[in-house]
Amino acid sequence: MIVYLVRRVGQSLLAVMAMAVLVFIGVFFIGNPVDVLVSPEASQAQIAATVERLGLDRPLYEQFGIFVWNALQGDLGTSFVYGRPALEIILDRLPATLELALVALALSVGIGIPLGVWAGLRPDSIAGRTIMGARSWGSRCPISGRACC
Amino acid sequence: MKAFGLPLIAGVVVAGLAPAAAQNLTIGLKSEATSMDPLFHQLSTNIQVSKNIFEALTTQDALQMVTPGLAESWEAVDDTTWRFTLRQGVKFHDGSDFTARDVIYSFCRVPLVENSPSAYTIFTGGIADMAAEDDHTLTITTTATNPLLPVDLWSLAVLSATALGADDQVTYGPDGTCTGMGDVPQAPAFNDPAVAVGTGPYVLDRYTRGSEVVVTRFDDYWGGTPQWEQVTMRPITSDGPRVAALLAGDVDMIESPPIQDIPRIEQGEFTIVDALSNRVIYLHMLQQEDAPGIGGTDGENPLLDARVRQAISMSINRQAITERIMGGYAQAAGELLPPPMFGTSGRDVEAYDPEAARALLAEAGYPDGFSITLGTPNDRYINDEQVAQAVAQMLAQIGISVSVDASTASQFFSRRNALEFPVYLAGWGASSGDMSSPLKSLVATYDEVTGMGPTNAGRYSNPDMDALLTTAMATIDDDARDQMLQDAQTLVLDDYGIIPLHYEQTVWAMKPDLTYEPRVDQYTLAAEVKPAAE
Repeated sequence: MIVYLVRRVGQSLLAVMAMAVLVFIGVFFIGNPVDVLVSPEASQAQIAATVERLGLDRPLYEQFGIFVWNALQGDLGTSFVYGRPALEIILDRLPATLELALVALALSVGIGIPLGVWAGLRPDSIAGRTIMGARSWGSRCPISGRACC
Repeated sequence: MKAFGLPLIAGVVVAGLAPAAAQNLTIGLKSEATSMDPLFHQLSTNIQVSKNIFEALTTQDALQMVTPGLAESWEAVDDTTWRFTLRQGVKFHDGSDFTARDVIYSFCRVPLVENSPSAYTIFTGGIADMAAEDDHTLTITTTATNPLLPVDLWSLAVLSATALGADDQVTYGPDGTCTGMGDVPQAPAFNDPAVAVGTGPYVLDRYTRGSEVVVTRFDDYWGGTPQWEQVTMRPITSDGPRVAALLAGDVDMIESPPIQDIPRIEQGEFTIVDALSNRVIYLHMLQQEDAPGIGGTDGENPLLDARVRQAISMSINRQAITERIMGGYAQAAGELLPPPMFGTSGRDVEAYDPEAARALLAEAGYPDGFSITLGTPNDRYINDEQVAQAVAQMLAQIGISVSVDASTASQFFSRRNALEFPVYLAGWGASSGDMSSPLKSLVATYDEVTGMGPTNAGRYSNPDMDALLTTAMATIDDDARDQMLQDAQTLVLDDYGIIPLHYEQTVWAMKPDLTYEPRVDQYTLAAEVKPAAE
């Protein structure tokens, strides 16, 4: 059990690291955020000052290192757009996310488990086959298409 | 799953407002204000919301003419000194009186705002000193002659020094060296209506990020009782749902409906208002020896030859673009700002003449044309990529083979600023409402020291124009400056240093019982929405 837990936690950490790297590189490729954020009327010196203040003049690996180091201490950085801690902005949205997740969980537990038990008790009946078929159809549907599946 | 939440929330809001519908106004905006601090991020989406709550010494009317705001009048004492007479009897939302101290405090705070993505220091950087002769007389000294000071001041919102915790005596010093500032609140603090205290017609009630900004009527407003009991500004970023919200009656008014949807909205008996904006869509051409993305010229840059640039301009059928691609919601442009705005000359739109264009190309030594890349954003200006495609087809008619390289705005602007495009399509809105804005940013010689030509990614350079523009920008006399700006623009356009295509028109759609005077600066100011005359 402990071995299993350690392995799962290790895998999760790896996944988080991989996502962080991908997102960081992704954002870098989309373009320099300053080119969109700064007023078009700003002069070259003002643009350079903004770039420096946001730390975007440093090499990518250094930016990433700073991000990871701060994140380990619970600081996810400050949002460029809102000028507020990123964690605060994530927490702002948390109630809505939890609401959605809880309703989804209640639906899947309330409907999914009884149907699963029924199908398990009578695997060869028409009802059992219908439930199994519907389940595999549902799980093969892409997330974006679930509403219409 | 997420889609389920939205209609529910919308339903609750509408039900809550229904009993007093005529007193309330709900507007669907295309993007969200990122902060309630009016001096945090210089961004039109923030400005148009904060203008309801905060005011400045001057205002700009719908045509961007400068008119009195919190300052009743002003005069230039000499080239660098201005005296402003402040309005008497103006109250802040918390009941305190508006005085010169509030103005000094507000300007002092600008360099102290942390983490600004686009700071307002571009307006305060040139202010050397500020002094209150008495509570309602203020002198401002600038480091250099700046005829546009009254224009610039429109951007600087006046906050309540008392509500923000300033000392009784605030003394100005440039670049964040003021004294008596107390503990300066930062942008996030402005979510609290007790901090976001202005003199504007509406009081901040609540700002819920991602969902809405609600403001209520300020009964003691100096300019008379404001129209609406309560105004709700709701960001609906996708075009489709924004139009649907209007048609379904969830909102009373929306900004920027897509041109394609306008006939459908009109059929629904809604009112459409539109006006020419201060935004010109233009082509800029890289005018330096070393230019990427050009083929068939033996490594030479044909764009260095003014005849080639003229040929490009003459080959574009602007009328066809405005009618067929812009659906009539644009006007062919002959200048960098639509006449009769300040510094325009009324110059004719370039006539469409592919024959003459071909002849010019041959004369310049390119009878068989050449190939070139045209960069364009695909989500920044109205139908931007379609316009670029049309330009490509028109250029093909005179033998220039164009491949359109379209990308999302953030990527486009980064690549554009790195000079990756030999020709690019972009737009420029003159926030100052006068010709010095596009000339200074788009065609003045790129110079990091003087700060000229920051958006001149064509690297056009004309010393005569630079000299004329620099003199104009230091000339207080309006008539003389107007003439100089006209002449400077003529130098650039005669040289085909940049090619204007069209002026965008801004569109608003609203319920038939409402009216809005369309603004050239494209702002949606809730306080200016009025009931339609019976």
